[in-house]
Amino acid sequence: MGPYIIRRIFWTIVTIWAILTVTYFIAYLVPSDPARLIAGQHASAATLASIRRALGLNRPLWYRYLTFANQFIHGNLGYDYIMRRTVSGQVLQAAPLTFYLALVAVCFELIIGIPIGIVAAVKRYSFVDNLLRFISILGISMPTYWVGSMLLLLIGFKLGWLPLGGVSPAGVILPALSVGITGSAFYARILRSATLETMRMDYVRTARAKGAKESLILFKHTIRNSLIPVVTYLGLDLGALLGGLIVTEYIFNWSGLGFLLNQAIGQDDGSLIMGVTLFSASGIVIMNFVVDLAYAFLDPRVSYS
Amino acid sequence: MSLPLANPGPTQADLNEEEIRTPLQTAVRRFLKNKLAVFGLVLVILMVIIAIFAPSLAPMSPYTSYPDGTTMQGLPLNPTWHWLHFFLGTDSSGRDEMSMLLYGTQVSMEVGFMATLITLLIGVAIGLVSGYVGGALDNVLMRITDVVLAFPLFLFVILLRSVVSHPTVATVYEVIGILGWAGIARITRGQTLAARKLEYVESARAVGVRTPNILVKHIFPNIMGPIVVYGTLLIANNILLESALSFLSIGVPDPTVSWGKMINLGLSWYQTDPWLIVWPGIAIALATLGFNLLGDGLSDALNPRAGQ
Amino acid sequence: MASSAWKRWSMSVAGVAVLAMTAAVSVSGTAGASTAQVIHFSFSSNIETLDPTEWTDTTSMTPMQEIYDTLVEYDPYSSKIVPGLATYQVSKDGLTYTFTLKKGLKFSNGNPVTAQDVIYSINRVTRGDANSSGAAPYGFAYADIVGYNQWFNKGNPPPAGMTGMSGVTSPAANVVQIKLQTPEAFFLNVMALMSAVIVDPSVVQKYGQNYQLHAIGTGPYKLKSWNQGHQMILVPNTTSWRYRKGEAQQIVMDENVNPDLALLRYEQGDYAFLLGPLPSEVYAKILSSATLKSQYHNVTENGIVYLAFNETKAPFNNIYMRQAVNYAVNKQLLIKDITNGRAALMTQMLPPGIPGYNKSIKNPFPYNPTLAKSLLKKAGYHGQQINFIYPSNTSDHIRTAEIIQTELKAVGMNVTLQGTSQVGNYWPLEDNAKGNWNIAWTDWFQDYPDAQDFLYNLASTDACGATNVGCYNNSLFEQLVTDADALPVHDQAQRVIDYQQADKIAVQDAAWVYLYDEWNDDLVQPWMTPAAKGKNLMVYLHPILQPEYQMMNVKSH
Repeated sequence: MGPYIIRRIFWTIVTIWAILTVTYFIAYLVPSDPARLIAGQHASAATLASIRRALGLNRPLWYRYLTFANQFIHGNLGYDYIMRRTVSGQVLQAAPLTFYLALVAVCFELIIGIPIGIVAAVKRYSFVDNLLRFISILGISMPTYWVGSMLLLLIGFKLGWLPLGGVSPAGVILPALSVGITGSAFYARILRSATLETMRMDYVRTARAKGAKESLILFKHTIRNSLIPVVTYLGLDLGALLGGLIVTEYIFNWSGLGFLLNQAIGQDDGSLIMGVTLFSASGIVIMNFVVDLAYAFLDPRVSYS
Repeated sequence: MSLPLANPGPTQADLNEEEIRTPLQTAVRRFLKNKLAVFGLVLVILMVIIAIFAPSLAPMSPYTSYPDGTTMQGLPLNPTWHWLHFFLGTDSSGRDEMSMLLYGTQVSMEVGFMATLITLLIGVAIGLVSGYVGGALDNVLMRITDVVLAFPLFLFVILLRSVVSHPTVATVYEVIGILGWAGIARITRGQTLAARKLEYVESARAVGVRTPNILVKHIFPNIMGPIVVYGTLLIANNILLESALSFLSIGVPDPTVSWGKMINLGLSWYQTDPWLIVWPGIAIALATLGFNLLGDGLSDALNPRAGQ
Repeated sequence: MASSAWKRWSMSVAGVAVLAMTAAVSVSGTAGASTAQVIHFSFSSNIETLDPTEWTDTTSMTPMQEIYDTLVEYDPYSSKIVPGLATYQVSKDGLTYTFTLKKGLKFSNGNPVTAQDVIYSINRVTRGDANSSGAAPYGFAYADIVGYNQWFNKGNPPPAGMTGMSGVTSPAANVVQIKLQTPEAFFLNVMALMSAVIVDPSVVQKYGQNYQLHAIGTGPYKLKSWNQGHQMILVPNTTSWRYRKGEAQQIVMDENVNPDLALLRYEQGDYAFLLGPLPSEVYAKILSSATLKSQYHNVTENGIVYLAFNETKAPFNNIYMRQAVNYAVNKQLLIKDITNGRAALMTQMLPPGIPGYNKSIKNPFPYNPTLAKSLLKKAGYHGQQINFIYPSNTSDHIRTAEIIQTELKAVGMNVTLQGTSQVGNYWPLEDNAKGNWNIAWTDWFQDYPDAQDFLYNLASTDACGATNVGCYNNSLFEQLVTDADALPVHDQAQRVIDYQQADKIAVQDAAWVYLYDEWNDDLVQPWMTPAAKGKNLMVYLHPILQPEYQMMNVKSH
C-alpha cells in the first residue's frame, strides 16, 4: 500500500508538471501584449518598451517559465492585465460555482441514468431495453450545448418555469440538467451491464433459489453491488464533465470556470486562458488521485502492483 | 464533451444462434440482424453522400448573404418550405439555412474522419510498439501515455486551438487528432500484448520472421476489431468536439460553414427565430447518432461476449 | 425518429425540473428589498475599473459618473460644458485655465476637497502612480499641459524630486491654475473626461493596486459593494453637493449578462433599462411587441464605423484602390443588414453631431461595382491577396466582414478574412503577427464632442500606427487639423471652417471606407422618469454621458 501511494503521488506531480509546462508554452503563443493593454492604444513605442522592462517581458523565455513555475508552486497564477485582477483571484472566485454546478449535474446524471440502467437490465433484451438503449445513444449523440439551448428555449423561455441564466439557486437547474441528460447515458449503460453481471452471481442465485422476493433481490443484493463501477466512473468522468460545463456555462451565463475561459478566449487573454486551464487540469488530476486513493482503501480487490 | 469511449461494451447477446462460420461471416450476420446498427450505417452513408455531393444538393450558395434573404428590417426569414427559395428559412445574415446545413456536413465529416485518422495513426503506432517491444520502452511510452491521458482533452484542444492565429479546417482536426491518441494507445497495447502470446505469433517469431512483418501480418489483424470500433465511436466524438469548438467561435475559420457555428450565431435569436438553433442541432445529433449506433453495432458484432 | 425520443426526454426532463425547482425555490427565497427605489440593469461586459488612471470604456463610465465628479462637466440636459466642482476662466490667449473650487465640497469619506487633491488627481492620470511604469490610457489627453514631457519622462519614473507638472499650480486656496503649451480649444472637454475625475489622495495611497475596490469620490452615489465580474451596488452619498432627495436608494448593475437574457429580465420588470446599442436580435423582439416599441428610444450619436486602409504599403497606398473599395461596398445594404436600418450613412470622417461636419458632402461614393472594377484596372490590380482584419467577437462583426468580402470579391478583389478578438480596435502595424493586414474594420466613439477627437486622433501622422490605424497621411489635411487644434477656444468659427475643409480632403483621398454613423438606442421602463421636465430623452440617451441615473425618479411599479 505504502509504495503504491508514493508512486501515485509521484506520478500526480509529474502529470501536473507536464500540464504546467505544456500550458505555459502553448499560452506563450497567444498574441497578447500586456504592455499595450496597460498603456492603451495611444502609447508610444518608448512607453511600451519601458513597461515591458518593468514587467520583465524582455527576459529570456526560460527565465520567465521558471519564474512562473515558482509562482505556481506558491499558488500564484500571475496578474491579468486585461481584467486588471490577479488570475488566482478570478479563478478562485469562479471555481466554487463550477464545482457546485458539477455536483448538481452529477446528481442529474445519476437521477436520470440509474433508473434507466436498472429498467434496461430488468427488462433485458426486450423492446423497452432496446428503446432505452437507443435513447441512451441518442443522449450521448446530442451536443451538450445544444441540449442546453433547447432547454433554455423550451423550459426557460416558452414555459417560463426557470431562470434563463445567471447565478441563482434555481438558475443551476437548467445548465446542470443539460449536462445531466448527455452524461446520464454512460451511467445507464454501465449500470445495466453491471446489474446483468451481478444477477449471475452465486449469492443472487442463492437468494432467488431460497424464494426471496424479486424486488428484494433486485434492490438489496443486485443494485447495491452494481453501483461500484458507477462510483468508479464518477472519478473518471471529471474531465468530460468539465468539458460539458465549459459550453453550458457559456449558454447560461453561469460565471464559473467555463464562463471565465470563454471570456478569456474572447479577449485573447493569454494569462487567464493559461490560468483557468492550469487550475482545472491540475484540479482534475488531483481529484482523480483522491478518487483512486479512496478506491484503494475501500475496495480490497484493487491490486497495488 | 462526454466521451463515448468509456463505453462499457455491447450488450446484445445472442449466443444461441452461434453456428460454425468464419468469424467475419458471423460478424456480418450479427451486424445485419441488429436493426439499430443498420440504421446507424444508413445514417453514416447518407451523411458521407451529403458531404460529397453538398455542392450539387444545396439549392443556394451557403456563403452568400442574399439581399432578399432578410426582411425589410434586415431580420431572418421564416422557413418557406420552398426548395429553391430559403427552404428552412435564413439566418440573420440572409444566408440560406438549408444550404448551410448541407455544406456543414462537409466540415463535420472531414474533421470527424481526419482527426480520427491522426489519432489512430499515432495511438496505434505507439500501442503496437509498446506492447510488442515491451521492456523499458514500454514503460516509458506508457508513462507518457498516462500523463497525456490525464490531460482534459477538451481544455487542451481549446488552449491549443486558441493560439493558432491563422486557423484552417486542417488546424482543427490536427489539434484534436494530436491530443487524443492516449486512449487508443492503451487499448492497442493491451490487445498487442494478448496477441503476442498467441501460438502462431510465437511460432512465427521462433522461425525468425522479421518484426515489422509479424506486426503487420499477424498482430495487426488480431487487434483490428477493437480499433475499428473505437475509431467509429471516436468519429462521433470528434464531430461533437468540432461542433463545440465552432460553437465557442474557436473552430473552423470563416467563411467555412459549420453546424456548431450556426448554433452559436442562432443562439441569441432563440426568442424570435428558434429554428436557427433547432436545425443544426438535429443535424449534429443525426450525424453523431449514426456513428455511435454503427460503432455500437460493430462492437456487438465483433465481440459478442463483451458486456455480458 | 429523433423527435419521438426528444419528446420522451423533454417529458422526463420537465418532471425532474419541476421537482428540483420547487426544492430550490423553497431553499432560496428572493432578496426581499423593496424594488421601488432600486434602479437595476445590466451590462453585457465587465465593469473594467473605477480607477481613472485605468479608465477607457463606456461601461465603467456609468458607475464612475455617479461616484466621481470633474471640475467641469456636461450638462445632463444638453451637451454643453458647465461648471462642475469648480467654476472656470480662460485667458484671452487660450493658454491659462483657472478653476475655482466650489465651497464646502467633501468626499464621501468626509475629507474636504482641496486644490492639492485636484493637482494630485491631474498629475496622477497623466502617468499612473508616480512610481509606476508610466501608463494611463488617457494620459496622452493632457500632453499639452506645461511640464508634461518632463513629468511623463517617456514612460520612465519621473526625475527625482519632481512631484508633478510645472503647469499645474495652486495660486490661492481653492484655486487651481493650468497652463498649456499651445491653446487647445477642446481642453475643457478633456477636463470633463472620466480620466479627469478628482480622487482622494489618501484613499489612493492607502489601497494602492486595490484602489478601485475602495473608490471614493464626490458624486451623488458611493460604492456599496462590488463583486467583480458579477454585480456592483451603489447607494446615495448624502454628503455630496449633487445629492438629490428623490434619487433612487440603490443602483444595482449586473455584469456580463447576455443581451437576450437582459431583455427577458427587462420584460419581467427586473431591469429598469436595456442599455444600447441594442443588438439585432433584441431589436427583432422589439419590433414584434407593441409594448416594447413604445418604450424604445434612439438617437444618432457621435460614433463612426469605417474601414481603414493600411496605407503604408501596396496596394492601398494607391488612391484608385481606395476609391474602388469605397465604390464596391454597398453601405446602404450594410445599414439594413447589420443595424436593421438603425444607422445613418457616413459621408465623411466627422459625424453630424460634431462642429466641423461638412453638410455639403453627400454620399461621395455611391454603390457602383462597375466603376469599382474600372478603378481596379486603372490601379493595375491583378489579384494580389488582400487581408481583411476585423474583430470576430460579435456575430454582427462577422457578418459585416462576410458581406464586405462578398462585395469585394464580386468586383474581382482577392479578399481573405482574418477575424481576431482584439481589446479595443487597434491593429498595430509594427506587430508582425498582426501587421500583415490591408483593410481593417474600425470604429470610434467620441471622447468629447470636438473634431480634434476624430480628425487628429484618427488621421494625423502623430497617431500613425496607434489610433490612426492605417497611417492615413496627407500634409494639407495635417496642416489644417493641427492649425485648428491649436486655435484658442474663442476662435471656434475659424476652427469649424478648417475642419470642414480637412474633412473634404479626406473624402477626396478616399482615406477610409466611410460606412455609417451609429445610433444609440435604449429600452426604458415607463416607471422611470426624468427628475426635471424638458429635454427628457437626453437623460437616457445623452450624446456624451451614460444615462444619468441620479437625474431620474423611480415611480412605484
